[in-house]
Amino acid sequence: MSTTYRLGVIGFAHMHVNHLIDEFDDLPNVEWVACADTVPAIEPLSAKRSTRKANVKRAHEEIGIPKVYDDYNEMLDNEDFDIIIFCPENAKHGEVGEAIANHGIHMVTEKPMAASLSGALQMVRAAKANDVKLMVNWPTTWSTSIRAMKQLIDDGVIGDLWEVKWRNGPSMGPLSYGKGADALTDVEKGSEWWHHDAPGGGALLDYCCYGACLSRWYIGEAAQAAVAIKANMTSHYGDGDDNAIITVRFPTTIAILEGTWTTYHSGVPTGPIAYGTKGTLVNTQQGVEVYTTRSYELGNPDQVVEGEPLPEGRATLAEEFVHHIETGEPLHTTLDPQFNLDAMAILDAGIRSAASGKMETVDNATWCIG
Amino acid sequence: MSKTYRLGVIGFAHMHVNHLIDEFDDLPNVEWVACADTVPAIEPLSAKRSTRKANVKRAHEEIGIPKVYDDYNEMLDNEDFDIIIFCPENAKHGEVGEAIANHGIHMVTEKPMAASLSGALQMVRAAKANDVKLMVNWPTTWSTSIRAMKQLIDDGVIGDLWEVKWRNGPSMGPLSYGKGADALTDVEKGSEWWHHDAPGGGALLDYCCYGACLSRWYIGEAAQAAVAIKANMTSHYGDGDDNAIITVRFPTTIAILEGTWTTYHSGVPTGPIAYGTKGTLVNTQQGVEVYTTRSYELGNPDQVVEGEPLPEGRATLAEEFVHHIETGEPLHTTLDPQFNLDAMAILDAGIRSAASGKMETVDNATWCIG
Repeated sequence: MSTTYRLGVIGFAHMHVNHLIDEFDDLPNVEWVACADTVPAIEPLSAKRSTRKANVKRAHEEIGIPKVYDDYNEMLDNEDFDIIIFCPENAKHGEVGEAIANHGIHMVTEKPMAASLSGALQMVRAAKANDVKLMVNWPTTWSTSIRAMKQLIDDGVIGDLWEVKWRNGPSMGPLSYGKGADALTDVEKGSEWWHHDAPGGGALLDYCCYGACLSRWYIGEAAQAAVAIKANMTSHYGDGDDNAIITVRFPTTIAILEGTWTTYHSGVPTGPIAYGTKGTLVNTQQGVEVYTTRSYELGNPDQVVEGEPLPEGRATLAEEFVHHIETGEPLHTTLDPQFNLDAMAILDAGIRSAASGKMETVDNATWCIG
Repeated sequence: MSKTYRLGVIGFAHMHVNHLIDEFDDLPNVEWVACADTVPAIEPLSAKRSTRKANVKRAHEEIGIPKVYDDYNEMLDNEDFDIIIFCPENAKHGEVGEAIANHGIHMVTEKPMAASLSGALQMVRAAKANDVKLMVNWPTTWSTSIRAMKQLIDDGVIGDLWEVKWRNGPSMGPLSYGKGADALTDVEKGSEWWHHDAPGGGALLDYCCYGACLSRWYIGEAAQAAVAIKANMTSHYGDGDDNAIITVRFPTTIAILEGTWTTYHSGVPTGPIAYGTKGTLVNTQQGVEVYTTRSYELGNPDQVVEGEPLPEGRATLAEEFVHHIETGEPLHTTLDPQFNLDAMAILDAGIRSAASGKMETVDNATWCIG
């Protein structure tokens, strides 16, 4: 098709916005129109790499997005867009998605879908009402071995699945990657939404979400309930959590979703790991390790599966979304809004459980109002 | 000393009794007097290797314990003992320990201490009242690398500890080791206490207990609360759990204790794993892997520590207990009754949480009556 897609961006809170922008920028038929950040509750102190201020600057100066608005609503009223990428603070996903949809624009956001199930439903309702496309991107979806793991499970290679585990790789927090002059001080970190609870910061939302997505996908059915615990171990310059563990109950399966911002070195592979009645799968950077020979020693896997190349024309998040718009074919399961409501619901139960100290039901559109 | 210790055994439910017997049998100055099993609620169908019937037979025929009583109380009234090893079903640890102590006999049991904090307190009260020694044995205590890990943590090698994780190695259940004619059928497994809840069977008590012990030891202070989940995945011939996960809250540390009887292959090292502010420790069969170089790749550890040889004269559980009796020197921390009340309290909170669906406080002698 020779349509030129008019692109915009709302919200630069999550540094993955840079990658989403880059992927769309790689398409041959796009044109950047304008962008706007949301207004944070706390004025950030830093413009170092990966902060929201730096992300806005990069979009304008390096990618060349010509206009930068202070008010995204004003931008939506004044400009014309076909697709908007939105990465505001998690707690604003619902409001921003709704605004974009109400202007009849297709939209892409980065995990987690929102900071709550209600925020996620707000986006989905608006997308439906305005008949616009919505995609929730997951970096893990673009890994061939992550996809291979689903195929191996569905093929019954490890028998019946009974446990899925996921923990993020080593992370000392989202704002820990700068070195030397680029390193953020604790005070600077404390001024960013990441380390605050109200805007939807914290490790639970940032990282347990991957486990929620992958466990829901690999297991293939909705979860029933979750118990969770979260803590602020060493990030006391803010009130957000930096470690969380959600244990999830599925009809005949269990999942452990770990999120951590204080891990210096992982020590062991972090997964996803899938335990079945006849074997175990461990996702690593080399591919999926398949263990189907019973052994007390860890030993070597029976095979390592890298997975099929990503499909032609749908090999990047940008290609996938445009393909969805142009053909109406469903998105990859993990990117689909309905699937993502289920994943969000697990996270939402985890958040409620960490607060209440009780096992909480995993809700859905019917039951989240009770 | 030239004293000959008169030994007895009460309870053959847990197959580790065979190892405890072997260790005491290795001492030069012991004499076996008599033994008795407790009477199980369900008549076991099998005498295959590792069942309680087989354990009794082995003690009598291979070790040569001359008398086998049907009633342990009758045995306690009729015979004289210095030390009794007791491994009845977990729910009977309290009652049996109390009976032994009331006869003025020193006693050794195998993990877990009991099936509940109240059962554990029952044993400790009776031991104190009768001024007899009590030891709770842990197989992990006799690993040099397990001990080395504690030393590395206390030496500050990984900074401040903030998380401890433990999962057992691959297990398809305690009665899964027989092969061919020795293999137990599901019906036979279902007739053994292991797979039943009332006698204190199940994976939570059997395996989460190690994590409770090691996290309490490595962290060095009592836990505050726990949330847990347990399930019967594939052991439906009984009503006990075969998988459990307890997440434990300590004052500034978190622990995840996993117990599983349905794991075909571990896939990844199962620990214990200790995460600190400056590094990570992973216990493996080769020793403790020490990771103090920050890295996204797993890579190789900075060092692998095997640990010091076990102390002369206190290198086995039997030597350790006799040393304790003869010198009055305290047992190794992990074998000490007071320490074990703390570890039992974590398990107890986990059991209550799995039943209530709530985070439960980790109790102690003061607070467990509320």
